[in-house]
Amino acid sequence: MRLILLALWCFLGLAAPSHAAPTVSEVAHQIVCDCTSCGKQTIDQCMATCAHGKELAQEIRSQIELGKTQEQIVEHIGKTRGEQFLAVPSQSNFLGRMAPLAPFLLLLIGVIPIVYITRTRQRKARITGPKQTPQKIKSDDDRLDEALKTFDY
Amino acid sequence: MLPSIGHLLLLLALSCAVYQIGVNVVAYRMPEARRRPLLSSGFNASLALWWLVCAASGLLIYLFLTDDFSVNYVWAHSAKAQPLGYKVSALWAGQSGSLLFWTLLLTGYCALISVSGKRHERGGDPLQVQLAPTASAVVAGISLLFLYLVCFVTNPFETNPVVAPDGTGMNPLLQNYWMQIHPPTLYLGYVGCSVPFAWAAAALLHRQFGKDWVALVRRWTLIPWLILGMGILMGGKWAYETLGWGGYWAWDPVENASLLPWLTGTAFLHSIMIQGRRGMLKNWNMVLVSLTFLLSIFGTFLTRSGVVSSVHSFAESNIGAYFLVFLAISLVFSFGLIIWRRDELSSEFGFESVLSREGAFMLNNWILLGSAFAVLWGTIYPALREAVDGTSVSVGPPYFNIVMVPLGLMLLALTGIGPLMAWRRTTPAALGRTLVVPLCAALVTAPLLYWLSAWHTGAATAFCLSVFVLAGIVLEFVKGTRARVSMTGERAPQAFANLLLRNRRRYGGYTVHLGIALLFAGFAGSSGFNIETEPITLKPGETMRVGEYTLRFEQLVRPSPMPPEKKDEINAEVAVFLMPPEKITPQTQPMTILRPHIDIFNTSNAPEETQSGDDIQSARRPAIMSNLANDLYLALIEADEKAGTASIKAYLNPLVMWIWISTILFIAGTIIAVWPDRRAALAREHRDDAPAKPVRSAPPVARSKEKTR
Repeated sequence: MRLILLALWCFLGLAAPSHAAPTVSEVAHQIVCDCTSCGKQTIDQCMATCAHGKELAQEIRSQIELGKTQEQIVEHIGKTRGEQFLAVPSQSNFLGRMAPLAPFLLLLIGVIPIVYITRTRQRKARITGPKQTPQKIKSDDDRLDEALKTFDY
Repeated sequence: MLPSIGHLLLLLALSCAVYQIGVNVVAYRMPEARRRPLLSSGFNASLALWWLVCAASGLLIYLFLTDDFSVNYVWAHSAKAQPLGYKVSALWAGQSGSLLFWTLLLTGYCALISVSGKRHERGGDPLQVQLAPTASAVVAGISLLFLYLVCFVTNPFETNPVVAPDGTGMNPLLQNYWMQIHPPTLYLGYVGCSVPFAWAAAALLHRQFGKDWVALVRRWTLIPWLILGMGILMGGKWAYETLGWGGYWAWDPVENASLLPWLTGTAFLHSIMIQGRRGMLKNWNMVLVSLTFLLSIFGTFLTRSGVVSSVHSFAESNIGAYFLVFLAISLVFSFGLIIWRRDELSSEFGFESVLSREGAFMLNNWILLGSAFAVLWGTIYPALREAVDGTSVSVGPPYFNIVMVPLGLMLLALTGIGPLMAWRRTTPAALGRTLVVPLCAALVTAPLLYWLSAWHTGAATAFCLSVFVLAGIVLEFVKGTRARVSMTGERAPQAFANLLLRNRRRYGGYTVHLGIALLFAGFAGSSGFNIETEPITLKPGETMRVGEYTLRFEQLVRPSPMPPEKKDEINAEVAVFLMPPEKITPQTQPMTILRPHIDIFNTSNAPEETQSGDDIQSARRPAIMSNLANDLYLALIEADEKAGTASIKAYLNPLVMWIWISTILFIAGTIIAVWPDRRAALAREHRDDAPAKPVRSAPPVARSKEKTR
């Protein structure tokens, strides 16, 4: 089992993203259309239909031709046109950094009380014994559970 | 005359809802003996409420069918040339009509709950009889908001001072067959989030949180949850088939609003199993069911208040404040009830080990809740940021991919691990033994998948985890069948069928998990392995390549006759070959001919010579060739009729069909899980302590006296 997990870990370690030159669509996916009719869609969705999207796609194309990376083009558009054009808020200040981090922070903060409460309850149960002995439920599900134990491999 | 009758019907419905709530509140406070006539009256009021809203909705549909453009809503969303199906679906195409439709569904649920309670009076579930009037009154309470809105704020029967000869017609982008299927399904599921909340509120008021309540609320949650899930997937299919950008999900605020209650509802459906099995997490379940309902209201506030920008046309209006006030009232009501009953909501058994089914479900709950928070946070972040530091920012799909992909992968891993864990506790060694086969299956396929995805880590990991989940579930089916064969001596096919029939909840759940694994594989395939070309302008006979396919542009054509609702339609005929261009000869037969096209609509009834550019709207409709491996998706970007050229953008989206197939498993699994079990009903009837007649709850005062005695 440990060997399998080790193999999995090594394998995932090998995985690395490719570093090819970006396409217009890839960069356009990071830029938001700010026109009134597109409702903040990314440019890759509207560049075929919206004049504003077409103009931005052209700018992205010219930046790619200059040999810039995706990150550099996104940064350039953020600086020249404004942060509202970026599909991921800029990480330049605290509020920007909190945008992608907040959900994970909440998850982590929430896990602490859950683990604490669980451990406290387990400890209490060990000291005082279970509040009640679980009642025997003889449903098909339980019988199947019992039977399945002999089939574990 | 008819519009006035429609408005009157809505006013009567509002009075009926107030009456129903009133009699149920009075009945709740009364001694049992004097309660029956009031409950009967409340039952009748719930039916009257439903019929009145039905009549009002029917009347509005009639006004659409008869082209009565004196009604502003009919004028704004219909036209004489509009096909019949779209005239009917115009009911939910705009703000006030969709609110009326919402009311129709909500009052329908209200009547359904009342009828279910009545039906169980004759030897059925006594708990349902006891709780149904209160639950029905809670739903009627929710419908008060919507009835108030359609009566006094955004009346769908409002008339125009001058009657126009024709209407402006439905938004051309909505003129699609999905308009008749997707919104009603989504609304049915979304509005259905109120139903489990109503049963929970009734349970809290009547102090009934036992196993029977768990079975009851599970059934009434699974159905709206299934319908909401189907509605969300249908929305994805609609976007994919009609919008022409090659995707099915754009993390638009309206899409996010529908996902929020589905995520918390999923968490609730898992944690309610712990309550049913071990009598634990009663408080938590009440919080989750309330949160599911509150998020459905909050989502509606977000999308209808104009707080956030959306591509959906109904997003901006002046009714947001009403939803905000209602949300505050609901928050106080639901959490007030939970706090009031907190002592009675304590767990029956302790938590024995983190390494158990309960532990896995707790983690699953937390990640689902975290996912809901991530979606909510991303949706409201631009509004919050603007309020905090005045900076205008946007949050688009890349943000959601950064946040949701890890959460989704964690959930997928838990989908594989959780069901293999034992209740109460399991040892690491035992768990390891159970996981060996699924893990090996995932690892064997991993190199191929990582190589195929060009080391796109997220997609390949999702794929490996899907294989892990599939292997685990298939193994469970095999083990279960073998166990039955050895227990009963049945043949394998019969044992398999009986396994499904006699353990519906378990194997229905596994079938849904199969669907989830396929869904993630579809997501991974279509996002990690997709190929997309730049728009290429082709002359007739010229070719372009996408993946293994060669596309040859043939010609631009127009349909004959032109559909009446369209001003124009330009099709590009594209022949598809599965071979390199140099091997194609004039005699080579194409696999198929695809016709991506541009629809052009008039959005004004003014004579053509007086129309401006704003009166004409175009929509690009893609053409798709689907198979199990991939979708060839073509969009016509521009057509130059003088030069005879077409600018075509092609996408090769792998495994998209798996997403739609997963819906079938999702539906089948839920139906298996929710299908009534006759044996359970029989067991309930023969249970020693079950009363022969339905038991009405004692009023709170009397019960507290009993307690002191």
